[in-house]
Amino acid sequence: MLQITGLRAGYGQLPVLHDIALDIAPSTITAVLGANGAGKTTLLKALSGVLPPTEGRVTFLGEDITRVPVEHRVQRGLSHVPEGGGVIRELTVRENLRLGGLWRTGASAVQTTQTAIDEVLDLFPRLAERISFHGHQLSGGERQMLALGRALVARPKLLLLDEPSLGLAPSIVAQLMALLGDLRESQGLTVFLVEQNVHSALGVADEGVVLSLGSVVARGPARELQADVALRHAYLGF
Amino acid sequence: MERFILFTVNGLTLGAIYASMALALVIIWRSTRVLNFAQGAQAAASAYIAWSVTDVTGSFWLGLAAALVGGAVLGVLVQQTVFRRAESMPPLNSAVVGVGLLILIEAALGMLFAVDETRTIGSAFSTKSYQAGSLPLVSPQDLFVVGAVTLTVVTLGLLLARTAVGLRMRAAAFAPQTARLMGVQVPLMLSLGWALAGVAGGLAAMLYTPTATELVPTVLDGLLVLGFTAAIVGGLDSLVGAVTGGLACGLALSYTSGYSQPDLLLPVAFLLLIGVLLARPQGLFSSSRTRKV
Ligand SMILES: Nc1ncnc2c1ncn2[C@@H]1O[C@H](COP(=O)(O)OP(=O)(O)OP(=O)(O)O)[C@@H](O)[C@H]1O
Ligand SMILES: [Mg+2]
Repeated sequence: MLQITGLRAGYGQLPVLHDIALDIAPSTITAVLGANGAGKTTLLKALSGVLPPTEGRVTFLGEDITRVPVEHRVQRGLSHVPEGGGVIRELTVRENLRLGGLWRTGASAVQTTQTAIDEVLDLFPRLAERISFHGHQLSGGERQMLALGRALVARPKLLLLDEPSLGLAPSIVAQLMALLGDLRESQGLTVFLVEQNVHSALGVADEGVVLSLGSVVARGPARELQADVALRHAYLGF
Repeated sequence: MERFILFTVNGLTLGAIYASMALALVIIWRSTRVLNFAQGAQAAASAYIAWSVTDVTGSFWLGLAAALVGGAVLGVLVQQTVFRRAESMPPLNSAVVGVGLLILIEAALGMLFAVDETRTIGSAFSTKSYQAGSLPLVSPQDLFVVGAVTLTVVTLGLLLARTAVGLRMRAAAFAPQTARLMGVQVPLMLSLGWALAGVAGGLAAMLYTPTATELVPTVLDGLLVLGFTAAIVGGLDSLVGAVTGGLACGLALSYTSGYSQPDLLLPVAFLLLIGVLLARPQGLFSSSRTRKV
């Protein structure tokens, strides 16, 4: 569903990603691993268009989206939850959630979004209790839930997640990973998951990709990566 | 008693006009962190547009409509030509750009509309007060001013707080990057903000100019200072603050100038501004939480 070929991206004159090539199958979870500064966040930004690639091609559902502006991607089914979540602090929980459905047009847009919000609130009862709180009144973990929930309101086909477990308690991380697995089964969701929590990420993922200094140094089935002792020592630090 | 009623009504009416100018400044500040001092001249240009339309058609109301539409168009024009670049500058730089543009537009108005003719903008309604017995209360024009500003504020407030477009505008203002990820057309929403600010400025011009002796390019400079004071008193970030700030300034100035000297108005406004800036730099109504620019 997502093909990446010859992708290069960077900041100003500084190249960060070098010749990335990946092919992501639908309804799979791909864990993207790598040390700090390896280029994981940069890769997600290049895929969502926040940082336009300098070279290469990104094809999503058969369409070349390399030059499609960021704001036109959500309607194609691509949602990016940035590092830190990007919850808008000045808006309430309800407004942040509504924002996730604002790309919809047409007569049934409001109704569809409301249904999607209700589903998300069932998924995260904590958000339902805090529905009128402002973003800045939430705890770090609640903010992560809201960020993920807001992306789900868009009902994406492909979800780009940048360290969603940051600041979450271990039991919540386990729940989060289980939830991603559920969404893959029930909605056919495809997830591109950047994580520092190597164990939990590889636990739920189908595929794993290891980045180092902006290049893919290993990729394969998640189980095999987890079992590869040399690789773990070299790049994942355990 | 008679004087007290007079000064109170006067203060509220003027305060409503200050509030309208304050709104024009606040709408832009909260979405782009630009203090648009050129708004004084943009509003004056709106008034000239109104004068021209009224001159040709003979209708005050067509003139008013032209001022509001013209204000919106000018707002977008000013953003697209000058402030699109200035939006990414520190607030001080863009404020200087604004002052420069103020002078430029006023000079252009001076050239376009030669001084050989005296131009005025009449009031929409009679300025003769209704009486309660022998006590003068409010004039139809006072009611019109307060009503027009109230309608504008309520409409703006509902638009921002209750509609999908308003949510998009707020998201674009608070977090442009996140808004784009959600599919919001950020530049379009910011332009809409400039247009709405232009409408508020145009309205302020149409309500204020009848109280001046003549329409000249600099006619609204004083109002700009007063609107800015009101906006600062209100905390710069909130519509409610702008209105409260406007009314507070209107009343304070009306009482001081009324009970002492009429020409104390601007000096008192400056004193108020300096006082508020010293005592509470974040304004009286802004929440104390700071936001990264
Ligand atoms: N805005 C930026 N401007 C310039 N260089 C940047 C910028 N953001 C990241 N970089 C550089 O790009 C490289 C990759 O950064 P990136 O954020 O993609 O790493 P990461 O793998 O997400 O790391 P982490 O695990 O710490 O989040 C780093 O060397 C970083 O210094
Ligand atoms: Mg990162």
